[in-house]
Amino acid sequence: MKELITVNNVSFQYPSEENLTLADLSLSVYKGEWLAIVGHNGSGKSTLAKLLNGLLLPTSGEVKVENYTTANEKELWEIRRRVGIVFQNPDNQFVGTSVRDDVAFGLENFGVPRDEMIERIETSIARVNMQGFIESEPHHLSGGQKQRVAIAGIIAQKPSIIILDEATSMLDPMGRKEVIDTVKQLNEEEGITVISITHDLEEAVRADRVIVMKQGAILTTGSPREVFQNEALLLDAGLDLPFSLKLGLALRDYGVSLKEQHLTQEELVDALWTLKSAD
Amino acid sequence: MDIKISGLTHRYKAGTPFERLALHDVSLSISSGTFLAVIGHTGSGKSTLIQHLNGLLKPSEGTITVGDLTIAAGGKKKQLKALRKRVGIVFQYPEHQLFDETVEKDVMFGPMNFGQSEEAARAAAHEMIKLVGLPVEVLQKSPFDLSGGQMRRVAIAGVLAMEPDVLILDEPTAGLDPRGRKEIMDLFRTLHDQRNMTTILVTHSMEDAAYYADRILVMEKGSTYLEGAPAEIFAKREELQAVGLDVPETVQFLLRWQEKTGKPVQMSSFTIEDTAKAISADFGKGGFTC
Repeated sequence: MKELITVNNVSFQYPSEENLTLADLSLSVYKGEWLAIVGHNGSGKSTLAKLLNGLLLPTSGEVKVENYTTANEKELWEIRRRVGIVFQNPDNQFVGTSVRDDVAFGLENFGVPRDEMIERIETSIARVNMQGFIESEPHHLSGGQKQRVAIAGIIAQKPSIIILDEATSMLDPMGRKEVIDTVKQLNEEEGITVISITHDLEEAVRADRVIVMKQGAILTTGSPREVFQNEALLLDAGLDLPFSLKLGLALRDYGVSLKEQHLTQEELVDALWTLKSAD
Repeated sequence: MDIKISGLTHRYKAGTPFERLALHDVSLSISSGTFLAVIGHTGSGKSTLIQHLNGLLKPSEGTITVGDLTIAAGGKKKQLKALRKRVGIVFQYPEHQLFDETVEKDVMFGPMNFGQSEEAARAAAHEMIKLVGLPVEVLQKSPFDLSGGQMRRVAIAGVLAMEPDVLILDEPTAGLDPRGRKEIMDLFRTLHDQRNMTTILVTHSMEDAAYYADRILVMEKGSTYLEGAPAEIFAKREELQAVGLDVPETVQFLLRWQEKTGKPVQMSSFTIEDTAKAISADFGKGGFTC
């Protein structure tokens, strides 16, 4: 697999902090993968996201995106065109006076021709299901709606990597599903690499690969199945278990013991049904 | 403190070409001591509704009564201050409102603004910081040197220090990790029970609504859509899905299981524990090992 992002021995310290926020961290992100990064608040996840597109620069070490390095100021624009970040709080990223203008802003910045711009704006707004709000002003939108517009703004720039920094944490269940399905579609159909920084373990369960962070370092990495089997490690990282694993453990307390743990509701129901049918 | 909302309508930018109806003829009674969850699609009017409860927005039509105070369309400003003392709001991302040099001064600001002495406010700050699970040492730190999760707790302490009778929580756990989220929600439920408060939680988490609330209000397009006990609301999956919501994951699971077995599942609450218990009943006495 082609390596898109390379993080080499990166440490980062905020000027006001006594300790390193990230300590000697190395990782690779590969083309087309959906990578979930989970970890407690303050584990350094969001700092890492900002280092990946040069919003922050490493105190030591190097961040490379497709052979461009964030340390070279002249290459930052190339990197930022390739790496779009959707942040946690939509209010801090809404710059337009309407949904249309907001999505247009990024494209203007990158000098996209007008005709193409109009088409890209409409397509990306439709992708996040905000067609009915194209002329709406930001203060008339709820937090969740603004977040969908922010995602449209990123999609419009056709990046090779989308970073979701807790981007779905403010959406209602269906809205969250819509956004994840949309990004999933971009990931599968257009090969866009997705790095999702999330507290939503149900979402992380569906990733190709999971990284667990703790106190500025990578605690473990692997497939969701490998990572989420390790209850002790997750609890040590200040996290919880995904729903189906928790239910599996609770079932054991009530005398229903399954041989293995199951990551999704579908798998768990099927395993229980097999167990019951064998009776 | 009883809350009664009668015929509440709110128009943003009334009388301009940008007029938009955000709430339409909402009527609702919340009895004292209730833990109410308000759920609804993004843009359904949840935030507009709660902003009326402490006078940040005034009704275009209708009235809001909190205890013996009534706010009506075109009412006086003086009443609003009294209302704000009774009704505390923890906003979305409350840490963005921290401003003072030290955590202690920040938490003391609210009570002093409502006329408490410096001594009483300092005592309140110490009590509340412990209550939200932070060590007292943080009181002398700058709030901006704390982590996001700690800043959130400081902001919550600032609202609690005003000792409100009604506490409104607008998506208070957004952005917190799973453990922090559970700790904060458990804290709110404990405070609710101990301090005999009325609590109104706006949330997009069906799980939080199911675990923590006694009553649930579902908003849709600026009106009340459903209202009832969690068991009543979450028995209506189709109605919820029609407005972008769903049932909690425990109910989703039981429905899947029910589909397999063809037998209805008896559930007593929405916890994972009770879900496991309900399913184990389908596996005969003594349990199985496979």
